[in-house]
Amino acid sequence: MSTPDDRRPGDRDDYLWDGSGTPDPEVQRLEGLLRPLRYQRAAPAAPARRSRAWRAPLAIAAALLVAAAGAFLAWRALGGAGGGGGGTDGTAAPGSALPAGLAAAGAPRSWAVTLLAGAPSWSGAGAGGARLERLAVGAWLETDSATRANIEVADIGHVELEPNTRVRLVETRPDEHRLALARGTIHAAVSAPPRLFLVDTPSATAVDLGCEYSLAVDPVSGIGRLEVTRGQVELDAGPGRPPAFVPAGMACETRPGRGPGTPARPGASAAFRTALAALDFEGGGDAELVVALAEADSADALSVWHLLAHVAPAARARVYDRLADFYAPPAGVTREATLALEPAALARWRDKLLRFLPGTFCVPGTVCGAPL
Amino acid sequence: MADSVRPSPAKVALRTVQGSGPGTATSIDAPLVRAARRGDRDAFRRLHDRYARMVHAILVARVPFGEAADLAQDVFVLALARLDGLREDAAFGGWLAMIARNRAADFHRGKRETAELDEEAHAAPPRPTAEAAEVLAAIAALPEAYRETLLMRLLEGMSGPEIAAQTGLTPDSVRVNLHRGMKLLREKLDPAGDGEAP
Repeated sequence: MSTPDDRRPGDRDDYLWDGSGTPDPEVQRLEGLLRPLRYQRAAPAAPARRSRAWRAPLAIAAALLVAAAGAFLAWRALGGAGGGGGGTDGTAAPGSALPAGLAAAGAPRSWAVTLLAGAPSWSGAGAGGARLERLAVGAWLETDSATRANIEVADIGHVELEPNTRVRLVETRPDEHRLALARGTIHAAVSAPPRLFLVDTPSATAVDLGCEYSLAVDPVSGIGRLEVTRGQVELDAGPGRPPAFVPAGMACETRPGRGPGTPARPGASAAFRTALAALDFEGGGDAELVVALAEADSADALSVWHLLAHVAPAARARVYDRLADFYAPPAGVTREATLALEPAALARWRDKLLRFLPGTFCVPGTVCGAPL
Repeated sequence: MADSVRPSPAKVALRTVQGSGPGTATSIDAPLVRAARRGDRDAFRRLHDRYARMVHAILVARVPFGEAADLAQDVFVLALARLDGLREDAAFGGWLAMIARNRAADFHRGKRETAELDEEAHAAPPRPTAEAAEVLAAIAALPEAYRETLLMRLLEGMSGPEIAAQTGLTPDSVRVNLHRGMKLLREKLDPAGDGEAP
């Protein structure tokens, strides 16, 4: 029988390092013992800060806000919004950050770009000339193998571009900020109401639900991979295809023509993840479902929840029973309603499961309360 | 830029967001720190959510388990009050870790000043099972660097890259701490070495 030490040390270390590689039974045992003791508390209701240094900027910010609002109204009155959209460049008060020439001409809506290494190439309207520092709506930004860049997403967060990444600013307005990722890898950190920041990929749209995540698109296959490190992201492939809800600590693949698969923990068993991939993308059937359900544990309950909508109706009861092995149904949710994939029932299940996952949080009436 | 070993996009994603290099996790903190300093409660909450596991692990490594959660809340209240003193916003993680270690030291010195916390914050922490308590005791007997790192990994479920990004340690240091710490822990939990590490 194989023991942990029969394996090469690197293999065992990989699991200890980041949950990849062959699971180390002893590490898994200790994780299981200690998991119930994890810190679960919400942030303390902190007292108001007393620092003078805090009050002064607040007063200045308030004054600037008033001034910016006035400038904005004046700018709108002069027809400065340009074509379409909501009439803001999405980064700062109008005219505050754009190059003077662009602002005077009625600047296109744009996001600030900071180079972290190398020099990117640009294309499209409003790129800003030789000293390119803003990405306008409709323009592409591409990094080569030696370039990294940071894009400020209006005033709600930022996106870092890895080398060999190509993105386009699709839209920026108060109710939507949208980027297209054609290839490469981005890392997004957004602090905003849910569904305000979106990233289109060749096979699905990543809808921010208040989070930090990485999104990679393979330049050849167009296959996307989402890994969420904070909060939640929804992967949406359009009508007729169930979206994937990916909370912190989980990853999800999405493929052109198929849409998102089943999110899974990188630390889930290899057999479980392999079975999910087969079910999602390779025409897997009953054999793979048996493996997936047998390999799942309570930490994989959200993955199992996704399977309800992914498997054939005849197999759905088995998925439900496995889910019910881990958690009792939410109050008022019946087995029948769940098997019928009634949106309210599925949403109640999802909300319950999310509450058991560390690193996620629910915004009442928005994230967890959102209908499927 | 050295580009001799380029990981796959998925690997890149993990390394960059969770890594400690320039423009990564630490720079993501900076806007949150600035916002929290301005009094933005949501930013403070996000910093708490991001770093609470690290802080809790540091405290569990130093104080009785039942005290750690309350002290973790204290640490964040203290951190918010002292945020004006943080000179480098991107160094928030290391700065917060230092506050946590100092708070644990204060606890042992009998300085038990606590912030006013809400009802939820006062909820009793879960009680370790006998077996879990044995594991915690074995970890508590390890050298400090190993204790903290192992608790972040085994108790809080943080990955190695995540630990590096939050603590400011290099990934290599974290990897070594995990490897050596786990080796020592195996020996403590199974002194006879039955089927365990050499």
